[in-house]
Amino acid sequence: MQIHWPDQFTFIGKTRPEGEAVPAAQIAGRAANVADLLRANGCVPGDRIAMWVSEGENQLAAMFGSWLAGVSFCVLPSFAGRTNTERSQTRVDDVFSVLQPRLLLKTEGTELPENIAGQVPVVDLPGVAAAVPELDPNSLHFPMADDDIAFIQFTSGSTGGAKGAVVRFGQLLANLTAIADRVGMTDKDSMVSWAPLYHDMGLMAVLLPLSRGADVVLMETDHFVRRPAAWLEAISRHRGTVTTAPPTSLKLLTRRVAKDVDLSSWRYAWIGGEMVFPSILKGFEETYAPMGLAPGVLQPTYGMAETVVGISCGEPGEVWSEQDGFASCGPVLPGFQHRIVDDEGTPVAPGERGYLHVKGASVLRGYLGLDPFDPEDFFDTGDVAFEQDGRLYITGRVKDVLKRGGEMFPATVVEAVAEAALDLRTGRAAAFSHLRPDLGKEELVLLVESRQWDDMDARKVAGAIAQEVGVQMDIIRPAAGGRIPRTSSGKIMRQKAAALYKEGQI
Amino acid sequence: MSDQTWTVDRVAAILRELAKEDELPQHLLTAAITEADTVETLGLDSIGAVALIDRLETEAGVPLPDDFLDFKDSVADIVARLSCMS
Repeated sequence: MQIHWPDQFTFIGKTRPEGEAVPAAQIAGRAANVADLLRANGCVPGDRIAMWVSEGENQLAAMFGSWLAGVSFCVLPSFAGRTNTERSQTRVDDVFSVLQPRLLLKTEGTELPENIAGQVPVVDLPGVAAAVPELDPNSLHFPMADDDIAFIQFTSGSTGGAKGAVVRFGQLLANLTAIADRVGMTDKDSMVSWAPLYHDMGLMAVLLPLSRGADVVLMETDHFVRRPAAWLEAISRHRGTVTTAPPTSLKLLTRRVAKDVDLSSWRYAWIGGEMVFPSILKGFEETYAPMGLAPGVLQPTYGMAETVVGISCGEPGEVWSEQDGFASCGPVLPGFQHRIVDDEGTPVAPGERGYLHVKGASVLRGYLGLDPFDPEDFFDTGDVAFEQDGRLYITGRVKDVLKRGGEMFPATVVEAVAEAALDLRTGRAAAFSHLRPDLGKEELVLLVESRQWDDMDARKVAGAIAQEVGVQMDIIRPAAGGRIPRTSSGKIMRQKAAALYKEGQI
Repeated sequence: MSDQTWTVDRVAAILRELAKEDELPQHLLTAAITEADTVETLGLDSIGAVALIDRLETEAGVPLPDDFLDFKDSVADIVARLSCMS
């Protein structure tokens, strides 16, 4: 894979809120150092390593250093750092047993969360302040072929088990090229991103600009979470042209408006990671138009880790359109074949809703340690969509995951936490999304079959889910025994429960 | 509004108002909210916390820092901190 290095990177975080420019030569030097460290610690080409690093310099160094050594990397998912409960430990243990990394990279002087420590040997990277020899980045040679693994991305599989999406260089390049071509990305662009690197959108935000020599302004995710306005301030200060974010962040910034920003340099934003509703886009566009936000900058985007990141996004400058209360996510990217089919697998008429299937060079061949997908076959995205005038509209989902703030949460994990909090048997709770275009969000609903119920039960469950899973459930309600629909074998039918809930029958 | 003193009831009323506007969990509309409850035990995540900070700021009439709330902050902590600022 060819990296087109900019002269420097800019990193923003708590200790450097204005941004600190770091020469690419320093990143290259750090990356070479990582490669040496990996080799010295027994890594051989084909191995995998895990990363728990928050400083921009070391994140990039760890990624590129791994590739220099012929090793693939995995940025550990966010839940790895959450509370130290037995359940969270099980999820982290699952990740390690699937990933089987040779070692874990962290920055010296930082502490690992308890549930990560002790899993595999840990290797420290020099801190950000440490002097490292600089190196011409163009002298770095990545020995990887199209078929080699670039990285592993953990996704919240609908069953809750850890699923590591295996991204190979060929697939990565195919997807990056398709997106960069669609957007017309060049070395004149400047990406400003706070999206976490364990997320496909976050990794894309680093690799996409480097596929075309564009600048990268990388903000620590925590910095954004503490102060969302910092993102728009960074676009303003560093004359950012492209960025990516989930719609929730637009909502936050419509509510809590950034001040004194000039967004006139901004030309394209991939808005995705969760359902994108028109009301959110309109609210943000109206709020920031006086600050230079042009029409056609916000581009609802659709994709998933199983296709590296992108499946569709709009043409630059084209204003998104609205149909039946849904926002267009642009035309499907070049290199993809797609079809929208009914329950029998028959393609539906244009404009009709069905299950979206995709095929192409970006589609992964499978998850780590699980049966591979058949590359000849279409991949079922698990999402429901329609196509109108060559534009894709996503209208819902049949896979059992909840989304909020661009993060995915398996329904089964949310349910298990609720059942444990109330000391109920397994299979007494159903968690699902209820689409609320009027509110511009997916309402997260949890129904619990419990004989006794009072307000404190809802509180207990909500607190446990916020603490253990890190997501806010909008509605937590009791359901009468046996009201949650199940299959003949007793499996919860969440989509059916959602449909009944929508009709007010449950 | 800033002439009103900050009490647990006032913060609870703000939480309920946000729940009514579908920004915060619906169970807050009916469940008891006490001074010992924390942002986390109330069931809020970081997105809900931003909505709460924003509303508290409007009510307080003074700018609040974006990191005004921590998940472990109790309602009593929020009252105490706002009382110092008003």
